[in-house]
Amino acid sequence: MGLSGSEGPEVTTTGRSLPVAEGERLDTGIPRNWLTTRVDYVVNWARRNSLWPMPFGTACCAIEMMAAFGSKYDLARFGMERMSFSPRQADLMIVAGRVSYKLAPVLRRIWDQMPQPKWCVSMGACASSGGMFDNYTIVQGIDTIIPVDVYVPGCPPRPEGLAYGLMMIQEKIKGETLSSSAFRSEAAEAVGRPNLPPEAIELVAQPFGNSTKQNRASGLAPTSAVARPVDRLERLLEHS
Amino acid sequence: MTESYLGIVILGAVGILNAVLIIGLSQLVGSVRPSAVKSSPYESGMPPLGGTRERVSVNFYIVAMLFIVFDIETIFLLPWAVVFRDLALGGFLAMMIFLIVLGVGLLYAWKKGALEWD
Amino acid sequence: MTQAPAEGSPQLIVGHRRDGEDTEGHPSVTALRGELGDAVLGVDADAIGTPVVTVTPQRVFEVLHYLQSDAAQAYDLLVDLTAVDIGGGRPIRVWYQLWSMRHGRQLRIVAKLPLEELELRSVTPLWESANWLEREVYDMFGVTFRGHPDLRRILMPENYEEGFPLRKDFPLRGRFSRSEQTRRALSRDLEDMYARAELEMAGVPLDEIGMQQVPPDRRPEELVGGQDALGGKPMLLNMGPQHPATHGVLRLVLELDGERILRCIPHIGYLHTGFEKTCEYREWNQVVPYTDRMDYLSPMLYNIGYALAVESLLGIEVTPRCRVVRVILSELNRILGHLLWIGTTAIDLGAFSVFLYTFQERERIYNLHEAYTGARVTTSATRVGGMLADLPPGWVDAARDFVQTFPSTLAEVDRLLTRNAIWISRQQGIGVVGPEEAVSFGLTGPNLRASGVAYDVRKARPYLGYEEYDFDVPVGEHGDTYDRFLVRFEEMYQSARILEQALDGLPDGPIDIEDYSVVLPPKSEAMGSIDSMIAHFKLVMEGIQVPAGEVWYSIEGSKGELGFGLVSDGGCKPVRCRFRGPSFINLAALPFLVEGELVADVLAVNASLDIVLGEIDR
Repeated sequence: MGLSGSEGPEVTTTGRSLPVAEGERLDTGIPRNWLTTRVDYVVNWARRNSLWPMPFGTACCAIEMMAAFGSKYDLARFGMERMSFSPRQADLMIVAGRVSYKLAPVLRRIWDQMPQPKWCVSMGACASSGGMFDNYTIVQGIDTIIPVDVYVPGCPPRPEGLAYGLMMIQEKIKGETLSSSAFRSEAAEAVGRPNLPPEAIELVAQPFGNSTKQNRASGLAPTSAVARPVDRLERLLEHS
Repeated sequence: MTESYLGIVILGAVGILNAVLIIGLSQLVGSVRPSAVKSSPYESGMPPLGGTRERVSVNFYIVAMLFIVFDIETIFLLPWAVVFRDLALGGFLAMMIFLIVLGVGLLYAWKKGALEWD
Repeated sequence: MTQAPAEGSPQLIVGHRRDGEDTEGHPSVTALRGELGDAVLGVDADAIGTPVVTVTPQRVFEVLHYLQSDAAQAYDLLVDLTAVDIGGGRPIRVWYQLWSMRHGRQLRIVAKLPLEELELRSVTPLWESANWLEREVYDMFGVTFRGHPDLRRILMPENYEEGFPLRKDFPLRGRFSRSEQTRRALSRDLEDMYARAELEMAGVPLDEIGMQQVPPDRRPEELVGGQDALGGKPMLLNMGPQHPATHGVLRLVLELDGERILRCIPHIGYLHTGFEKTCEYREWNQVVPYTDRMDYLSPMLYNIGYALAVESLLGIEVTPRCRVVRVILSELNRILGHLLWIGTTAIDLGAFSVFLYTFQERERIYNLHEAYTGARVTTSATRVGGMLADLPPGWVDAARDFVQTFPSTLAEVDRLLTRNAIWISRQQGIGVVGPEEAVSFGLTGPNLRASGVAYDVRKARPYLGYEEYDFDVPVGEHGDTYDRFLVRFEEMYQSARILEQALDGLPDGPIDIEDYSVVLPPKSEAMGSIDSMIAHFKLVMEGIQVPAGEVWYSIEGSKGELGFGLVSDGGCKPVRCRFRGPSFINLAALPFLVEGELVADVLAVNASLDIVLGEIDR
């Protein structure tokens, strides 16, 4: 068993290796040996099986999230019995639904007010990327504002989809260690600021697909030559 | 005699151990990343407006006071429930006097409107 | 004025959907031409025959005052107040959609405002509901209303600087770059998040506030609280956007004296999604998925209402089978919406089991949704001219099974709640609104019916053949929270009644109309006949060409009167898509309902209004 993590990639209990480069020292000074990995295992086991989710539900995804907490797709069996609506007692923030720019500072503030350890699930297409709303008011992905751990696609994702996303969070927690502060990094000067730099925001929020052809192709001259009897174009423009 | 106290001692010890473990483990294992926003009061995501050291309505004080009194009464009732049979009639009468005194107090508070908000 | 509830059941308010009388013969048009003829610039009719009277902007208040106060006109319900910008520098049209309870007539007054003079006199003295509606027109178009008590932005952030979104010269993705929008969003501070009145309440020195562009002659509403005799100050509390019991991202700023509410100021717009703007860039059928996401609790009602509105512009009637299928889906979705409402209201007031029971029932309706459309929540079930597909085999039996078994769950909830002492004491006498007040606030749906006004669009202006179904409309007496609960509860039983009749009377036949300029031809024909192939090509490449015109079409949504204001220029994309979400207008009444109540009552009243933020903020 090595000391101080300087022998290259360590293998965790799940059989996957930590993203530790060969020779890199893990920075908290806690060596990775049999004992500390046992402690890691217990701590991670406790954390992932008793997550207290904070539902930050805004729109349709929130309804599917509520259905996921209901009797049929019971999320309480994952240990998430107790939803916390106060960020102070929550581990996991589930952003379910579209976030507008008016709501963005609220989201950021609530994320900042959650104490460590904390994780974030972006549920739905709108939270992950802006969804079908590429317009003046919707944040094009909450990862421009807060760091996201798991994205659950769907519009809305089925409750099973959300459950799968939560299981992915649990897997992610399994792979953490107390020896590296990278997992719990949160710079005090980064609070209240966007999560991505401006160039990255422009890159992820680029228009794509049909949104590059957003113009009003109809204009005022219909492309079809047949004028219907009920056509009242003249009267519409009468007093203009 | 010591058997009955043993239960209370164990209960106390487990309680203290529980609290120590929770706080101690969190200090050991948890990460502390303080920031200005994190320490600010939580008000549904909005920055709070107005001071917190404002005058509070006196009705809250009355509600709190009534709660304490009747809560303590309940605490006294609980051990009596355990030794109910042993104390027989004498204990019953003593507790009834206790309850009647407090009941008269409750009736007074009720009539005076202390149980209504305003 | 409004119908007062008589002894026994109140008179149902009945109108005519298609008047059959020509526009000039319409009594209100005649009266207007007689009384205020010089103010009338023109009279027209919209696609369903509603008279549209264009009026000089300076005389709008006079005309509306006459229409409201004259006994023969009595337009007491301001159904909608919105604006239309058709672009090209042309005047912005402001629409006032009116309904008369007593006479069962609707009318639209339009004022055309040149872009350099976007100002009107506010009609808030006439209708309370105009308060928020005018704020929205100001926010979206920049039209100012003289005399409005508190004209500031409502959907966009307080100090939004990019302009007025629904104007045609405003680009869809906004004027600033995404990184700039993000930066601005996260650097908002106190004066961006609190209105001037709230900052005054909290005692923040006003000279330090950089105020938004509100001209000095527009004073904010007077403080109600202020200093009491002992020098105490009321406390300002945010029931913020992130809250378990506000039914969405609604923010209520409460001015409290202890537990008593002195004033409640709702802030909305945290879910503003720009539906109306985005739908101007989508073809008529591409708008249907957007309609799901507004009222995500009863999505098919929006799908169906929108399809009906477009079909009225096209002048087409759907097939008999489609009509009955739409009735079935409407009533299923009404039940869906009400079940969620009961579940969330109960959980707000502490009854957790009811939430679980109602959500279990909703799962059964979701199964029906999924079997038909493939999606549980965002169904996008209708297309213009028909539906996305015919009902799959076995669906009708599954629906019938649901209708027969779900009343037992309702009975269980009834046993738990209706005569429950806690439920009654938390709901009776709370949030009372009388019939005239309710109409002035523009309340519709169960909120209005609980106050004794028997107005239901399914009875007043029947659509989809509702006149042939045998059902009652429950009407309350006291207008309090408990009555709103009882009305919605009974409505679910009535919906089950309609469902039974509709499921039994479902005719066979095609689900879509045969017109291939609107509906895609079947593949065999499209691959076979050249005309069908051309029609298919045009529909896929361009979309449906809807003839130029406008319509204001409303149906009875689960929360109230759900209106669609559509303007077409003959092309394949709408010029304007106005969605009148009933919750927007219902919520505006909240401050008046909770004034003087306790904080815990705010939750009960808020829940009883049955709001959905998706259609409030759009």
